[in-house]
Amino acid sequence: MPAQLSDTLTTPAAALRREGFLGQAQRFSRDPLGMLGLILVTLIILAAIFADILAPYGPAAIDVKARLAAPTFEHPLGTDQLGRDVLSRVLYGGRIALEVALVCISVSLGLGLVLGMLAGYGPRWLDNALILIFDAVRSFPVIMFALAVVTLVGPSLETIELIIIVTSIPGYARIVRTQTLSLKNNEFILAERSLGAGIWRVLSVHIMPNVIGPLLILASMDVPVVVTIEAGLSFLGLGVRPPTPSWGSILNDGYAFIRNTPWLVIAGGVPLILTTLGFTFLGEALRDIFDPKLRKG
Amino acid sequence: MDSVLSLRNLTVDFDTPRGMVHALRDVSMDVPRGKVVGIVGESGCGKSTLIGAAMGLLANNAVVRGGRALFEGTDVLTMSATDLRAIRGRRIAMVFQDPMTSLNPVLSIAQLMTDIQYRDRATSAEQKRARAIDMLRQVGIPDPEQRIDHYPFQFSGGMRQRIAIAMALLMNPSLLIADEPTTALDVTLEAQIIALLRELHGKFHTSILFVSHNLGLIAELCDEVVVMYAGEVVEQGPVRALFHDARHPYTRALLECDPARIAQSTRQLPTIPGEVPNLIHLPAGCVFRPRCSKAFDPCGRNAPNPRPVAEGHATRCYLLGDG
Amino acid sequence: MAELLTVQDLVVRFRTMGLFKALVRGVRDPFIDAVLGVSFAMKSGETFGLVGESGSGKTTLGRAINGLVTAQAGSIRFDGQEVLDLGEKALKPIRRDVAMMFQDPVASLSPRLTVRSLLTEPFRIHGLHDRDLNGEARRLLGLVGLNESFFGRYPHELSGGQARRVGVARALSLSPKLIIADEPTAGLDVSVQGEVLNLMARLQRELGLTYLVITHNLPVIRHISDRIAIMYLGRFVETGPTGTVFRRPYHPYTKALIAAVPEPDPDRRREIIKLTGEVPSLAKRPKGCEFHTRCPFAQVKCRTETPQPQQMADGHWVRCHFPLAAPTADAA
Repeated sequence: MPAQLSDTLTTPAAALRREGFLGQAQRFSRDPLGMLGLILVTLIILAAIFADILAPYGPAAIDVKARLAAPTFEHPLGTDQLGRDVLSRVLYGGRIALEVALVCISVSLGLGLVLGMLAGYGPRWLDNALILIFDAVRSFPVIMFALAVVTLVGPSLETIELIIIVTSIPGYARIVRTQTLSLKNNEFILAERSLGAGIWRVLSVHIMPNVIGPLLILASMDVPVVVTIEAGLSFLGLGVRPPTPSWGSILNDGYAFIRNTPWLVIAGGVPLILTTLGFTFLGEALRDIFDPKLRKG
Repeated sequence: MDSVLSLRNLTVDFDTPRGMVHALRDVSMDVPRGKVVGIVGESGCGKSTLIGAAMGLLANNAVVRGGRALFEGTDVLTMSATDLRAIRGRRIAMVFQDPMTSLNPVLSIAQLMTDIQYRDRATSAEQKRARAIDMLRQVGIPDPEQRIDHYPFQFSGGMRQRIAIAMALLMNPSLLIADEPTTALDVTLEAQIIALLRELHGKFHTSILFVSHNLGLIAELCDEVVVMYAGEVVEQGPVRALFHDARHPYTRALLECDPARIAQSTRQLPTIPGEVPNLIHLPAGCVFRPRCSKAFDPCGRNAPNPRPVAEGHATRCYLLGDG
Repeated sequence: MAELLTVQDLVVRFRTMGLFKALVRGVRDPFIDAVLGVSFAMKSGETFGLVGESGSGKTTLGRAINGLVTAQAGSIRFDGQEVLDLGEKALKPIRRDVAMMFQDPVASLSPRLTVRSLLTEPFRIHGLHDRDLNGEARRLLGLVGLNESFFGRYPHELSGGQARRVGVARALSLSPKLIIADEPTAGLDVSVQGEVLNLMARLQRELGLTYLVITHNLPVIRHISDRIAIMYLGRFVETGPTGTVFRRPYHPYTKALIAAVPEPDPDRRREIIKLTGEVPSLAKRPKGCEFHTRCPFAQVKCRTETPQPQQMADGHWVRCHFPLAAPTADAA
């Protein structure tokens, strides 16, 4: 039997479409993984925002007596090789991680959105040119590209951000372009053009609101990717400069002193895992609710 | 009478976040063996839910409140999934509205048509192919021996609908459900497909449930007509009775609105004022009362039950006379 | 009365493949003619119907007049001004005078905009910020028989009929002279269809509008148009006053089209279908008369020579070598 039976026979589809925000919130609350993601993400963001209140010590404060200490009441996650409180460093490190994620994703998303819409809606030659550039950038392995840039400009937070922004624009732009292409010949776009609307009006008022939703969901799922890139580069010593705390540098320290204590690796790794899980679950739940077409299987 | 499909007092709700949608209410109708029964009604009248019920394919949020859907005597609503699959495609077949999307684009016509015959283990592959070719010839596909190895995109819309019909009839089903099969086609093709359906019906005597909003096609093809409005059957009867002696005010209004029935050219076309009622909060009494020009006292109090007008002709209306 | 719109020998061609691909495949002419040498004129205040099956070029012709697709040759004069080669900027004022309505009542409304924004959008596009936008939106809704309670709704929250009314209101917003309506009744139920057509007729009387109605729906166009043109593969095969064309079609295609409409009367079932086959692809345009592949009366001349339009009666033109002699009874 043809497969689209179920499609044609769901009469109350219209009713479902009209359930509105409340219904969507209700459906979200019924998704346990989504709720878990939401809780994790909220906790991680709150911890980063209130790091200076929550952290018992400054991120660089040294307690010389207790170096590489196991967790105690004074140092809940122990201390590192210089005697710095690991919990405080993890909290401040979260700040760095989220700051990088926020800056990188918002900038690359904004640029990707504009370039993608131009490629999709503009003339053919512009599309071809932009696609060529996107593909060229994407064909570069991120780490190699990062190594090259860091060698040229030197490691810093800004360098990391620049690398991440440049390499993630093509991903967003590609998606926006595809969506724009499919919207471009829709009747409502023709209707606006027939009223005299120019390219900027069509893009900003009529195309953007229709492509931004899926893009934001994608962005939420990209947060862990950016966070791990930052941690990875910091782990390699190509990221944030010491003594600024970063999950990546905590992991690196833990790696160096793994024979002395496992706590550093745990303290640097667990937040990374939780961030990845939290944002991924949240993003997947949002996608299922707002964009059921993207759902797999 | 021997009926292939027989719906008895079928009542189906859909559970949606906004509330219960009362999609079908107390629907009773028959598809007699060898007859063509048409279902007419505007959007939201419950046509699709009715087809879904007949095939045992209701959406997950459907709640059957009561009634039965008997296919050759067995209730499809209580049948197991395995038994249902054995019926679909073999005993009940379906032709869809859009021939552009109802055929799997990555399979050739030969593959599509031998796949339907997978239950016939005794038949050899050559016999299956021969049977498919024969059926393609019957539906008017020129040069079927070669064309059978082509893919759906290599056929035009009209040809694809012919292929869909050939696939539906391949297993010689006892019921063919055609859901607006010509809506996506041009007028000249529509006429060809209707002529084809009539010709095949004459040849195979398959019972057909023909769903359409086009009164002209219903008049052209059907023996009996069921008129639906807002989830109820408001009138049913032989095609002549319905077109020449309609009793329900909705049926009459629907016939009056059809521009093809208005001989004198006019700029002021008749309409049915008001809107289809909300199926979550139904009006009290007769569903059509808010739009009915003939409504009177009792219509607001109780919903009318179907009343017989003549042999095989019944309507849900308190007014049965000419009034 | 002066002509509001004059179209002369209009040709719209679409590229079927890129330059490189055409070169590789050795295709010398990688174009199809969607509209081929169409000429007609419309008077102010009349309704002109453009009838044809899919692929006839009727939609393309409508879009070319508004400048949504670019025509390659010929002339389109609107209100005395040539609009054929105008750029997007120069077209903007023309688009205030030539409004369009699109096939799908809901999908032709921008999905993330409320009814209020949809109605004020035309004023924003044309920089008319000094207008009282809320007042204008209210006035437009009133014109099409809706009220302010619709302001906050989104297109998907409207029924087909309501969405169509909003579409009509938008088309009216900039006080156009000509409205090009592409299948104004597509996707609407019969009872709603009448409401929309009556509304359009009322607005035409009240505002002196001119309509170009594009449709495949013969029963509808018979009621609402003054004159019609039948299109086949990008050409007008027959043009004339609506009543005359329906009563006495000269072109075999027109006649077949009219005969293909089923009669809603079970006592008048047709037994034979005269027209067989399907509309050929534009990429394989038949030589001579384009209709000869499906024409029951085709002769040798039809396969080689393209017929020229000839006038059969006052304002009734046909493009056929052998116009039908006398009307014969269709119904069996």
